[in-house]
Amino acid sequence: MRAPSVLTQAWLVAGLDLKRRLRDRSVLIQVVLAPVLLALIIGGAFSGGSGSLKANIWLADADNSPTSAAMVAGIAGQSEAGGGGVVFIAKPGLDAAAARQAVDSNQADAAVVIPVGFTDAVEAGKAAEVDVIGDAGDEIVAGVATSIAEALANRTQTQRVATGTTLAAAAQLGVGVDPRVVVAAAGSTPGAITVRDSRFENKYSLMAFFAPGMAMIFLFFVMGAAARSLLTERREGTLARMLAGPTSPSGILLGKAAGVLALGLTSLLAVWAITALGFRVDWGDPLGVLLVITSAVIAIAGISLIVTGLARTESQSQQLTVVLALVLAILGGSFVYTNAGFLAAVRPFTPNGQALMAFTDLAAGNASAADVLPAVLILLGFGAVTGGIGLVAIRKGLAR
Amino acid sequence: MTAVLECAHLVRNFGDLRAVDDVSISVAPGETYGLLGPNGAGKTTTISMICGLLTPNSGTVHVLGQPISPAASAAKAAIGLVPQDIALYPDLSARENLVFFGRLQGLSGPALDSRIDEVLEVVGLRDRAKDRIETYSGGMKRRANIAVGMLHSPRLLVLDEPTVGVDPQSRNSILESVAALGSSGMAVLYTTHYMEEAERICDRIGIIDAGRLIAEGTRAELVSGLGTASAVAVRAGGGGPALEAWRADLAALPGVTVEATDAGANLTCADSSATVAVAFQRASTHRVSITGIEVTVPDLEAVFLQLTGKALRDD
Repeated sequence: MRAPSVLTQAWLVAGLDLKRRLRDRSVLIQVVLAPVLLALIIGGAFSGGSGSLKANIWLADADNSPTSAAMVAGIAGQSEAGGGGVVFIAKPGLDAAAARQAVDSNQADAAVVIPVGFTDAVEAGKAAEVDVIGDAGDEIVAGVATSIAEALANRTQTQRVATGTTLAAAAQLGVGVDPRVVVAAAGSTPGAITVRDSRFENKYSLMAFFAPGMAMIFLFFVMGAAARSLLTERREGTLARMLAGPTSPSGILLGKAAGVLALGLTSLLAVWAITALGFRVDWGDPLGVLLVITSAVIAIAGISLIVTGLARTESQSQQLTVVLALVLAILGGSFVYTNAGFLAAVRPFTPNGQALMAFTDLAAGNASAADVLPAVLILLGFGAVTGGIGLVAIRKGLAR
Repeated sequence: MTAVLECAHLVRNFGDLRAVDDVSISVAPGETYGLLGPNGAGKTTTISMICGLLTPNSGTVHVLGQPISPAASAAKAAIGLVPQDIALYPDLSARENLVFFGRLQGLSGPALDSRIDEVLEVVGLRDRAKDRIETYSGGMKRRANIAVGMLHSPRLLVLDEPTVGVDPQSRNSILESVAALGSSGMAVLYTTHYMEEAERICDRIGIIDAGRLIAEGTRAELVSGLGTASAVAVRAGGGGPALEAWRADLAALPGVTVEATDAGANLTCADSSATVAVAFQRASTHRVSITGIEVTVPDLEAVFLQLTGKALRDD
């Protein structure tokens, strides 16, 4: 009778772990059902009951000049045909107070206000402000409106330079040109105004944002529990029983790590499959999605292993996992995804934030597998470092 | 005959506490060695070092001539461990547990299946093999725990207090199984703080206390080696000069001490059987009628008490 190789030992340990976990119905709920349900509920709450964002955004043109009218017309043309998704409605002559009233009374979900004097300020080469009025509880719609405002501001800056250049060239050539005509022409250029942040594009499905976001939160719990099983086995004596035989610590650790990875992959792949097939959510380039899923799972597995290595008891490990999952979910944008401020700044430094950015870029159709490779490499590096530290710490705990 | 287990001068400290202090044990093939001591004496620590779960601070362990260490997989394959606590997966059946641990030992296919059937038969769990461990009684869990330890037919079976918290029927069944294993040629190291278990199944016994092996030998060697005497309490009828003469006659016997009591005498002697016979003979001579005799033969409890000044069991 020959003792099995380390790889065979790892295979046996991982197989047993998966068998026991998948038999447990509460794990199935955590792995698949909870993320999908939460994505449905939260996605529905943000979008008014369906899987895609729907909003009426008023474009209040208080300035009411040919230039501002041209800009507003350009944005309104972005509305989705048939009235679905985000609809931009031009409101010539509407001032900020009236726009605020419209938002407060839910006639509009948000408003972008071009104030009186906007065109004059642009023509004079001064800073021109665009106001955004939104509901604080509806950050995504407000985000879309903000994106529009930023796009307007950017476009205005470009116009200012272009207009100045045109007028200067005309003066040098001795050609008489009316500045208002130049500004209006620049503002009405087809396609000149676009929604800058593609994450909030009309056709973007909120499920594509919340499904991976929620799945990754539960991934912390699922993979944390799987890694914690090592501590449970230590307490229950089965670990000592294995180590008393020809089983090597490396075989056990490899098996445990493989089990954690397999469970994490099963979870994210199942959420992907269910939302894609059941709810027609487009996650984007499948190869890219697969790469991000795999690397995200490896990164979170690394965190789970480090928690297991540092914790002395299962209860310590569980508490650490909950705290880490919630903190990283908040910092990484799983709950609230903002484009500015502290959270936006720290998001790239969290593994779930990296993954979420890659997922949203893929879902928005703006990225391919090649485009998400940097995020994939960052996640793999993160997983390698944390996983390595975790395994060393666990191994140290095994050698007494 | 080469010893299956040979450990020499084992020492293990936990901080300032010396849990095991210079323990040397040798177990031959077919021999059942009992490590007897109270809770906290160092039995489990000794076993953990023998199984490679703990590294000794000093001393050596050899199994079948090979040194044991956490990485010595070949030597460890010769050991079957039955831990003190139930080390099984409660959500799996007994058979599933056996399949998993059997595969880790290198068993597979029909050989594994037939071996599982054999050990389930030995521990009397064949009809409950497909039930989850969590549905078992305490005694059944203990028996399943033993089944895993002996599954791969180890050359050395190490049992750490396998009967703690077990009902008398299951305890009897476990002891019978262990005795049978010893008879089959397997070397068995059995730790317990139940003196009667050690007396019943062990060929040799080591008494351990406060980490030190304070005595070792067969039961008879331990009892006689320490000169521990039997106590015979004799109740006799009548009284007066005849009873006095009977007591004096017994006191004259070599190795016998006599303490007079109201109802007769308390005798202390090395050989209780011979002394009782003489007591009856001399009672007849002196016309003293003996109405009752109570013999207390020294046991390991007494040996332990004499060696350490405290009782073996604290429960």
